[in-house]
Amino acid sequence: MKKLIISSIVAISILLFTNSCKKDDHNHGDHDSINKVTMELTSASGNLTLIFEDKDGDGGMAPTIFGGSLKGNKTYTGVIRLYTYHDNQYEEKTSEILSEGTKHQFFFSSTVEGISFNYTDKDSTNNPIGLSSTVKTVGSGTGVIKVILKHEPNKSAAGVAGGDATNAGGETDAEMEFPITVI
Amino acid sequence: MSWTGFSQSKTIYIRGVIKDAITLRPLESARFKILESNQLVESNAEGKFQFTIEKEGEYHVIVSHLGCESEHYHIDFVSDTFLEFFLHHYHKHLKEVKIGGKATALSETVSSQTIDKKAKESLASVLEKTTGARSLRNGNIAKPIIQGLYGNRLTILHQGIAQSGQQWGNDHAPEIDPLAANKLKVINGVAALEYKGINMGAIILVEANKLTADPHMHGKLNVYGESNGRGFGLNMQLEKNQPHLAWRLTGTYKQNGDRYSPDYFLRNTGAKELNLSYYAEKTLFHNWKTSLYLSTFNTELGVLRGSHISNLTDLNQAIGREQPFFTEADFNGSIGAPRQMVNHHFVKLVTKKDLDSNQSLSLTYSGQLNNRKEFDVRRGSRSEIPALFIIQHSHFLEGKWSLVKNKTITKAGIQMTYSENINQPETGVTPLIPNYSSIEPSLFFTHTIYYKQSSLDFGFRSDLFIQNIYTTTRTIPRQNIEFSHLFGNIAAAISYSYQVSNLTQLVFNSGLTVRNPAINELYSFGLHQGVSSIEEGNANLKSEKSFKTSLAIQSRVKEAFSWQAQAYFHNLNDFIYLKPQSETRLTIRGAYPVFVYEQNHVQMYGLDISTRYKIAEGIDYSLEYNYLRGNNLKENLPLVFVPANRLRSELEYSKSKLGNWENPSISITGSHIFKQNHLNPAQDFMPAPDAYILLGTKISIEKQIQKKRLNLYLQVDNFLNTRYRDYLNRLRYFANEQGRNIVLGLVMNY
Repeated sequence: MKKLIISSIVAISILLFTNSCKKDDHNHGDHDSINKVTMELTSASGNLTLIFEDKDGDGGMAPTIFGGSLKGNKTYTGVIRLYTYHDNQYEEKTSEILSEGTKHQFFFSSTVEGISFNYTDKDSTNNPIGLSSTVKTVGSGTGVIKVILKHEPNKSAAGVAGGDATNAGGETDAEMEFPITVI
Repeated sequence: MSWTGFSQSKTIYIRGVIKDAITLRPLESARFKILESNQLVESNAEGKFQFTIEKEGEYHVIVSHLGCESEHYHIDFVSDTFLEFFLHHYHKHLKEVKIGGKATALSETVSSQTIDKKAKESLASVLEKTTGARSLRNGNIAKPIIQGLYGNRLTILHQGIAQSGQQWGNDHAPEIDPLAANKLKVINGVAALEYKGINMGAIILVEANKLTADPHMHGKLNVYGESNGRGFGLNMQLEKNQPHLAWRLTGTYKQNGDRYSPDYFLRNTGAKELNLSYYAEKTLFHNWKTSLYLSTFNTELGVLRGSHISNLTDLNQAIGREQPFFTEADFNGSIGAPRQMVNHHFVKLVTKKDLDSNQSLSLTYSGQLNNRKEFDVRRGSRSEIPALFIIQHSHFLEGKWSLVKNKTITKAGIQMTYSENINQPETGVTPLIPNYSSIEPSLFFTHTIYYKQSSLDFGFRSDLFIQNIYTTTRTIPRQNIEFSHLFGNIAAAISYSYQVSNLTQLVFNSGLTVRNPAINELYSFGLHQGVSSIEEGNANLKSEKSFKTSLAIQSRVKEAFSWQAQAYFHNLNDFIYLKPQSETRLTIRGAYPVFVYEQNHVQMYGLDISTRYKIAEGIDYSLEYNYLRGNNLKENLPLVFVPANRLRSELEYSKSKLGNWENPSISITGSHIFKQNHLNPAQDFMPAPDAYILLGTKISIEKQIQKKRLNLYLQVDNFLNTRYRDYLNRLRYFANEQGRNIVLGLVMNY
């Protein structure tokens, strides 16, 4: 009897062992994650593209960040594009933000004195999204432009539609700082 | 119970005695009731009773005593009979801890009648009834903590089989319906060694009651409604012992909507649950029994909407708030993202053959299928696609031999476990846990010796883990890679129990356990949404070595006063834990703290004391205190997630009769949870919540209506609608705990 039990356990374990699991079911990157954000700043007197690239998402690789210089006392038009990286290539996701405009909003701020931001787009409820904006510079200085993308913010909370993220809530989908110099 | 036949006559004389199962003293005013003839007699001062019946045949009998669980029997009276009953004073004195029996280890049981009255609770909450047990929670989702251990360090045995599933997640609750189980037990010591799983001192046993010997269909109906969350639940149980097959069928449905904290609704905290189980026993041939247990557990659980956040800035904004983000003014009964949907299917087949009167052999197969989906708030209508979707199946085979002699019990067995954990690709999200398979052959041996007033248990078990992991590289471009590991675990334990006197018992336990690193500790990688941090496994981890020793004393000083105390010390070398790294990681979503699994030397020590005092006939008072400390020695830091100390007490007044009603009782409970002060401020995102006091009350009454026994209860939790937060609840960062809850319930046995 005992022999029988032992041998049947061994037999079943061999059966299970050889019938092992599928190995190629992995995902090669997230379809949700944002891995690259660009903000094209254009004006009559020159352009600048801010780039924040983070291919491995939460992984240990440091992101690549491009800032640059802007001229003082100018108004730039800002256009943001977003990309996801999977299966070793980028896929643009900007339209996903636009079509769910009521559920997304960008927030801008800068440590350089005098820089101001204005939304130039609206979602279906007449609240800003921030994919398009204007950026006004005043004097000169060095610092960063900070861009935050919130998912499901409360756009009707105090100050949110005006560009203040404090009461927005929701989840941060992207938060980036671009080094800039205003000359 | 035992009975012996006397001589035959037309009028049948029934005599008997009712005794306390622990002290063996006769019980006065115990009631013996025959349902068919509606006859009721009470025992006298010697515990004796007698009466006559006019017709021979089968009768249903209930034996009850104030403070005891009523016992149901089915007896065939053909002649004059002498009956002897032993009743357990279930929660009045030493709970269900046995004194004077052949107890070799300390164990504590939550009875089916207690579970019935906690129909709305999860497994972890029901377990909190036992001394020192706590819960680690994420709102609705609760997992048990015993003596400071949980998750990978605490095995939950469902019908004797280690519950498989994604035990690694702190927000993964065990997929077990306590109402289907009837009996919950926490056991310490050697007895735990015969079960598969990590045994680091204590294990939780979830068992079904034995099937009754009653050939008639019997059942139970359990319904309740609750004010907080507007929840309700229904549980039904049917059982029958036919000559060729004995079986039991249970089904449970529960649901609730948004819970309410004293000041606001907790948005998206609804839950639903639907469970079924079937248990059947068949005697094939003489001395050869086979049993089958099938169960399915299905749940959908909402997670507080305001707790779904991303980076540290989000968390800091959420912490300072009066009300969580997304709080709404109205009640909501539906469940949206973030949410979990979990199905767990279970089968167990046992066949047991008695070789002779002392020896038996049993063969067990058990299979489990766990299907876990977690839905996040996602862009582009992907909220309906799970962000985590894991199917795990596991199989268990066991051959066990046991030999019971007059003074010894010996058990030995071999086991084989195979499990596979597969992430489903449709999530579009890199999984936190890789795919893996694991083969685990094990063997165990335990031996018990009884000698005069003492007993000695010892045993060992050994498990091999052969793991294959299939994952992708953490760097770009991502490529498939495979790893394999071989770990050998051993565990050995000894326990010694000494009956100092009829009323006092000492139990000493000591055990050594080696635990291999779990898959999540080795390979988890990614963002833990809920905790605003990046978690990284460490493939170089070694096995954890634990040494635990405990000493327990239980004593009944006199009839009216009893107490028990258990002190324990736990030394863990190479304790695996998440260590915060000194630098945050910059990602496109902002900065995140990084936690990596590392190892260190950890010690924990604790003390649980509980006492019961019978103030007067029908008035009982109980008091319990739990103390626990944990330290990370090398880093010289307190251990995180250690339950704060607790003091709780209960005052109960009960009578045997109130008009036509039986066993009316009213109780008031109070718990004082201390602040977890044994923490450095830098160890958490916010200071530990303040101490709090919770009051509750319960009124219960019973009535016999022909063959049906009714029990009505009214329970109020958080009576004073106290605002508080708890250190063991992840939602402490975001919201207050639930406010007052009024529960009205009915249990009917028929």
